[in-house]
Amino acid sequence: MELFDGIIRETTENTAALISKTWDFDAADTWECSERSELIMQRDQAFELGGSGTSSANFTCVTTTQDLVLKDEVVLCGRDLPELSGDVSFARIVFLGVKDIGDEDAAHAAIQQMEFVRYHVHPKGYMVRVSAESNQERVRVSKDALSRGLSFRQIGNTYIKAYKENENVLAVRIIFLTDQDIIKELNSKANSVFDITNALSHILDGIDLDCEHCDLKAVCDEVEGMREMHLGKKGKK
Amino acid sequence: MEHNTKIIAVTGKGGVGKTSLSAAIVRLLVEQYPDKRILAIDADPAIGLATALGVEVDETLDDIRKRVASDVTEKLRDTQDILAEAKFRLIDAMKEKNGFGFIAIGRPEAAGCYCAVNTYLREVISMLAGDFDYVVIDGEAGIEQINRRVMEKVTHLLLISDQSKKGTGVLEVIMKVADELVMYDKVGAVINRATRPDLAPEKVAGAEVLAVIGPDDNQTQNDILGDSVFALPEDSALLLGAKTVITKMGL
Repeated sequence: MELFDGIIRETTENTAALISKTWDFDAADTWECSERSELIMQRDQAFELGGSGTSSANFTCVTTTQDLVLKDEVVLCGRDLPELSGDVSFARIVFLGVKDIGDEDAAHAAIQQMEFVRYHVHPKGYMVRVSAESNQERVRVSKDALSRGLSFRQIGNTYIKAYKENENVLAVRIIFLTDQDIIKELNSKANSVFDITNALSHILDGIDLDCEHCDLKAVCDEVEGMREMHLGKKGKK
Repeated sequence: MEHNTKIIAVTGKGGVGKTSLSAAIVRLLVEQYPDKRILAIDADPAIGLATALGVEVDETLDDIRKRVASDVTEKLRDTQDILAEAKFRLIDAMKEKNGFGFIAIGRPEAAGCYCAVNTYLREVISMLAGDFDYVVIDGEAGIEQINRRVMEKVTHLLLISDQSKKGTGVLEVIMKVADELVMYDKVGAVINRATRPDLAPEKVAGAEVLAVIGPDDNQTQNDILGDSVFALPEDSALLLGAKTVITKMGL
């Protein structure tokens, strides 16, 4: 699965100079979670990441190219939660190094399951809202959680632990960005991630196997490996 | 529901003061229980509760439904995506003021079938309601729409009527529908704008009359000026009546 490698490389390069902190994964330093999403009312929140009309972005990329995701790591670009005092732009980007899952159908199903992790991590005092339609993730952070020392380190560890429950996941790099100009650009990049996943779904559904008349031809032309996968699927038909 | 959320649905014929009483209940709950979480839901397409509570509405639930439905074949293909999207938009649409949350249902679209999205939205609202201690629903005449569009269960059903036979007759019909379609734990009635309190019945549609509220000049002035219920003096007939309802219903 190398379809997202171009996006991973580009995002890694573009965020490298913005890194303010990195932490190796520590399974013992996670944050307590709720079974379901809790509501944090505005009166109880310290601030909202991606709130008040600021930009936000969220996407997940999967790869079998092991040198792109070397280890489990939390990366922060910008200020950490205790250093913030108001609403700021926000992005959470995840790169997952995975095993060679096998055939394309299994890979596609596995990618979806990994993407859905974002809907099932509910750290207490950290209310996550996700819009797949607009590639956004907004987070209300409660005053109480901040007073108890919440930081991106624990949030990142909590997410990594959740991703690693999937046996196909070998390594996770989770990048948090706060108050950075690049976040708008990352939101556009999330569209590219969706386009690739969407094209993959079309191929696997067997829809429009005539490339010359397919609406997604531009994506296949652009993404390395997509055309090969498509042709492989055609051959099996 | 996560904890024991009290869901109060206020219903009755049009023009009997459902919205004013709903707003008064919200104000009193906020004042009595400042640490509790209170959600007001305006289920009347005219969105009168927003004015009564001094809230400005940017987006209604039906706006969200329309928006989510239009994207279901694009990015929102999976149930989990749709649920998350509905919640994302719902939290944005929820206004917070004076310690309570507010959501307007809006006017349902006549064309198009949004059954699936309706189901998701109802689920999201039920989840959201579970995060509150009190939910006050100002319904349009009849309550079956609450069942269809908002939530399947209320805990307290409050029937409002004026003293007219027409008004109390509507309550009889509403109770029949409620008994068939809506689950509720307690029911009570209020006779509002009563010009002859001496003629008020003790029971209406089988429900105990909890309060008889006479004409309220303060409330009339509020309506004329477009002021919210928070501008009413504490001794206004409406607030005193609402206080009696809260006490007698054990809220």
